[in-house]
Amino acid sequence: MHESKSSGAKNIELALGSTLSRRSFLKILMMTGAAAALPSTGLLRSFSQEGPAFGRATFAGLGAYQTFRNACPRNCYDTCGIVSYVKDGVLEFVEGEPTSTYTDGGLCVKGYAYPRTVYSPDRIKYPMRQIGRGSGNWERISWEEALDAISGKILEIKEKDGSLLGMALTKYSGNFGITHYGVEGMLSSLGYTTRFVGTPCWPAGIDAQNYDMGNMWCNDPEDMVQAKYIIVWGANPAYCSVHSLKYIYEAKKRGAKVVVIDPVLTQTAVKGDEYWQVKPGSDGALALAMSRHLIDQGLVNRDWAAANGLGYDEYEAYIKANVTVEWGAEQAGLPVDVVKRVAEEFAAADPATIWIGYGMQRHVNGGVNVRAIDALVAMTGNVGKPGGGARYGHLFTWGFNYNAMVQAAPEGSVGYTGATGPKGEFDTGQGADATASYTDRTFNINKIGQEILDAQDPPVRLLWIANKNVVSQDFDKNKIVKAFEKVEMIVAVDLFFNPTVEQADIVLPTVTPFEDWTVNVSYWHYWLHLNEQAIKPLFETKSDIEIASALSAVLNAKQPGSCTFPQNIDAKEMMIKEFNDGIYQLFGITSWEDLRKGAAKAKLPSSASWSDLKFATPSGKYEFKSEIAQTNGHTALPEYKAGREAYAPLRLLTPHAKHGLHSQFQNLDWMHDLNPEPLVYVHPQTAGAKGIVDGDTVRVFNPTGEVRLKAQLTNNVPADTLLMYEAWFSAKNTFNVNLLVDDVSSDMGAYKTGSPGVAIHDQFADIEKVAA
Amino acid sequence: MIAQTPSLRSLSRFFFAANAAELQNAYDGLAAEATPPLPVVEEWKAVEFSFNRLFVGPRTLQAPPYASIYLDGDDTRLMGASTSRVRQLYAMLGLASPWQNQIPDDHLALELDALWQIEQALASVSSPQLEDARAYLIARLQAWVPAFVGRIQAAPQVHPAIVAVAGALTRALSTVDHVAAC
Repeated sequence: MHESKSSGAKNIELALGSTLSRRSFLKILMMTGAAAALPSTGLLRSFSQEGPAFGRATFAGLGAYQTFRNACPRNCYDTCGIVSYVKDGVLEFVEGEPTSTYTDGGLCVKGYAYPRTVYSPDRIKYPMRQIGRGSGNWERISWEEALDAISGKILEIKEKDGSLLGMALTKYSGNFGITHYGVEGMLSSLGYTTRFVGTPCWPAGIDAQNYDMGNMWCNDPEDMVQAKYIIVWGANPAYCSVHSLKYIYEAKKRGAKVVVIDPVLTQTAVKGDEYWQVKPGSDGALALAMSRHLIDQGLVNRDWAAANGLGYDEYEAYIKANVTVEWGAEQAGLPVDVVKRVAEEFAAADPATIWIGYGMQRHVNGGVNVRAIDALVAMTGNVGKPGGGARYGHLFTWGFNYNAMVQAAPEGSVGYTGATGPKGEFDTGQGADATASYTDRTFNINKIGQEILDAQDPPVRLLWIANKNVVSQDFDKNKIVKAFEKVEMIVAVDLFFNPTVEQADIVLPTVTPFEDWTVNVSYWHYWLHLNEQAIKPLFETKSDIEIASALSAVLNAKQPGSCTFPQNIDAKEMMIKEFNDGIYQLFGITSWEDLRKGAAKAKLPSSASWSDLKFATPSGKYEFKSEIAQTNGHTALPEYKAGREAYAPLRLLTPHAKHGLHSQFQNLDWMHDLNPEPLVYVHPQTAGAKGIVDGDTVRVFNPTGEVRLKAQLTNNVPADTLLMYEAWFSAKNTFNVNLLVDDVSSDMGAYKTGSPGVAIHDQFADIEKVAA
Repeated sequence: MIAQTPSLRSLSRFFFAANAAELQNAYDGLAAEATPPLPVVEEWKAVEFSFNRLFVGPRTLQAPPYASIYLDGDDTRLMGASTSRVRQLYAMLGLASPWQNQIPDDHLALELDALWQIEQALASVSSPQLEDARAYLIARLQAWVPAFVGRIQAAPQVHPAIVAVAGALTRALSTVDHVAAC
């Protein structure tokens, strides 16, 4: 420590290493009266002043680890169970939940880095107010001051507009813990407000599966081991669902063939037996071509289609009249014989399955393309079969009470009187306002910039942002920043200072999963994880529902009856209130406390979704032809729909990164070590034509905006395509792919999530070398 | 015999301040005895903004005021081994932080407070144990504070008043060391 360390300092160092020495040290201090001479009028307090419990656990040198059960809530397929090891109130390390066969005792690198999130010196620690948005001049304020300012604004808006529609919420998947729907609950408890609804993630595919089968419902991923043929179509589990790979490997070991379809040679693709580099957005044409070949070869499971399908004959007639294998193969950029062979192999395998990724539906034709793939699985009789299925996702295990979410508007609240739809994919339709004459005003979550710019009567005056780094993750960043200028007050609730917090007036510090009580399920696997509070919340951080509760107390003190959110809540009690008998039965538990012993898995009648072949469509059949789709402005059959026309020379893809989950994790040092800077991946041929060599600084630009970054040459991307992974790196790095991604909608999503998705992968750009 | 105890207390209060008023109070306490004199501050909000950029947030901290950042060879994780060590030291003195597991125990203000309390006690009692603890804490602070002060001095847009306080901190620690060596 110090060269000239005195013998006194060495004595202490020795004593620190032994509980016994520490005790006798204090004993002597007490006996000699030295302990009593310590003033204890400063910051540190003496044991005797503060009562017996104070500080003694540390002194006792308990040493042993306490373990807690946690869950990773960051919008990942895997939604892992975590076992947390806590010593003297400090989270020391984490490991994967061993009682879940899915998590299977292991986490990804992001998960193992969790203690570095919790104890990052960069965490937002206190409520803070920015004096001049974007100025970087921040003052620390108390929670009382923060809530006074916010509640003052809420009451001012109500007074001015006669309603709270001027208060808007945008919230998404930063924390999928069930109690975090208390953010929506907080808004409901204030009255009728403006909600940014929908999902940027997967809405087109959700609608597609709803049209086809009446719901989005996938097989248990653990039953992939039974598949004889697996097509991973537009998903990259090697990055985004690492725990699923073991099932694919096991299936391979048992003789299954794995085909990966992706525009990019991903880490998943190299693990397959066969890789198809397809043109983005051509998935529908390809599925139709494969279907045509099955029809031509008599390989359609006609018995299945006749017994369980609606409109198959019309679908077949459409294909015969409009689709050839040659045409579809050309659309996809694949050789005809390869398309034919794989179609035949897929039809011959029993069971065969397709994993439909979220990437492939982020197109102007993404929804209908999912429908064509669903149909391919159905016409080979693979829907409803263990080891089969058109796997996309599910909400089968999400039947909680949404106690924190469902709050009544205060008496006399005035709201919106126009038409309204579902508020996102998790909207259970059991809102307390179901029969009220007013509703919330809904805006498209994927067009936040445009919606704010267009909003009138009233405009968006107060924007609440939670679980979402809007400025990094939403589309057309420049438009969003411009729109924010119109908003009178922006409140961001976050863990770290990101570009959204930079644009906020007030930031409220929030908790990590380890400082929170909640419960988590997945939209992919079928496990249920308890999330216990393992450590005290750091600094002055609060959970979403604690914030809602505190705001309610302040509002009701100022104007009694102005907020219905429960005050003085207990986070654990709120978590318990999310459970119900349905959940207990589904998971075969008698109490939430059973989950303290480990994870529970849903007791499924079959690992296959739709195993009874009773579909949730109006006909009860698999609907190759969907009248609802037609009513909603689509074709009744999954007909070919062209992709978006190119508006710049090269396709731009901005998929999920390996070391981050949207805005989370990449800012941690471990991720930085693995992935220190953003890169644009360019095919050598394209780079050569532009005079770009590996490591050059380039400008990637299109009519939406531009980014500057280093180029990396690789054959993994097609020559007509640029690839850069979406990520928020750090407060010091301004990289943002959404400077280049506009907010053009995908075809579907409005039916089940309230807004269409975004054509994230139907983007185009040009590239040129610039001086470094 | 112990010249610098009031400044230790003011330094502790300064680095623990939550707002401009608390900063000003602590600064006034320091200024009363500082040589060289501290600069006169005209706009306390400017000190507060700079203070928050350095030590509080919400941006990445320019100079995290936690010992473990400098002592544990891991400058992006709090609550490290040296945090736990200083917590044990406090416990040996019969002391604990009321913010245990909320604010890391090795926050500069808490370590300075411990040192101040020891100095205060030694003014009225004689205790070889307290002398040892004092020597340990001084050596510890001297091991990390120079790097911390270096970060303050290197930070962009840093307010001169904070640089001056950092200087006073450095001097206070070298003075107590001198006294301890006597």
